[in-house]
Amino acid sequence: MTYTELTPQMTKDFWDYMSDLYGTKIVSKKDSNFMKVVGSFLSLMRIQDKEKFMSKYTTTIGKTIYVSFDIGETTDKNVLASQISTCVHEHQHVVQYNRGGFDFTLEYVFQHDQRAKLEAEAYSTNIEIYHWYTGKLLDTKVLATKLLDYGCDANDVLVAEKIMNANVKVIKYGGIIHEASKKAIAWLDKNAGTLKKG
Amino acid sequence: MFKYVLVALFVSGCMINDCEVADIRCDGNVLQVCGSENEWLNTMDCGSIEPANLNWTCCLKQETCVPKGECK
Repeated sequence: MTYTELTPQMTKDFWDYMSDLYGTKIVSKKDSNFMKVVGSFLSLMRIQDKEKFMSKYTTTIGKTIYVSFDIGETTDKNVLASQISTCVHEHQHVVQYNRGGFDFTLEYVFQHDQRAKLEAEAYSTNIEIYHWYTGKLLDTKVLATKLLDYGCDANDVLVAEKIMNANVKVIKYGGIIHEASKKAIAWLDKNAGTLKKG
Repeated sequence: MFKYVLVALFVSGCMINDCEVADIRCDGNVLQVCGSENEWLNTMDCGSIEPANLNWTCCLKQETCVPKGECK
């Protein structure tokens, strides 16, 4: 079998596919004044530190995804794989938004227990994509602990870890749980099936 | 009368806070986890997992969804 490498173009094509499928708009976070205001608000609400919010996190509001990096502008395969994983994570938030509409936004912003659940779901897509790419699993404790950066408390982290552990067991059985992952993996199987994994 | 009101409030309070944080249960074919506000959260609809031909079912013993026949 001839293997291919993950390329910048493949990464861009993947983002284009997901964006077209879900009708999302992709915006550079650093160029967005709106994101600067949101960053200040989240900091005020003690949900997330503003500097981290602007530089480390990609953010989805409604159907607009504010990315903190330039898509496909690197040849580092690990970074490209991470960008694909981020794309799926953020589109799972779009799935949540489509499911819950404005209620989703309110729950996410004002209810830390719901926020933990919603992020556990989105982080589980990272596990699904990582498993597709490497055949391995991500550490759920490490992922759950990230929620402390989202204004969640220790109990939220415990709950998120429990949710992700349940998801990991399904993934081990070969299952795909989340809507964005199902679409992503279908595309990846079709367009990157010969990809040299890991 | 006041005593009955207090009892009613206590009972309704118990009904709202009906689970311990991180407890797990199956509600039909949906896996639920108890959130930090002591409320059951729907976390996984086993019936929507792919591939669907494995007939995923909620399995309390394994605290997840499993293919039919694997809940041991």
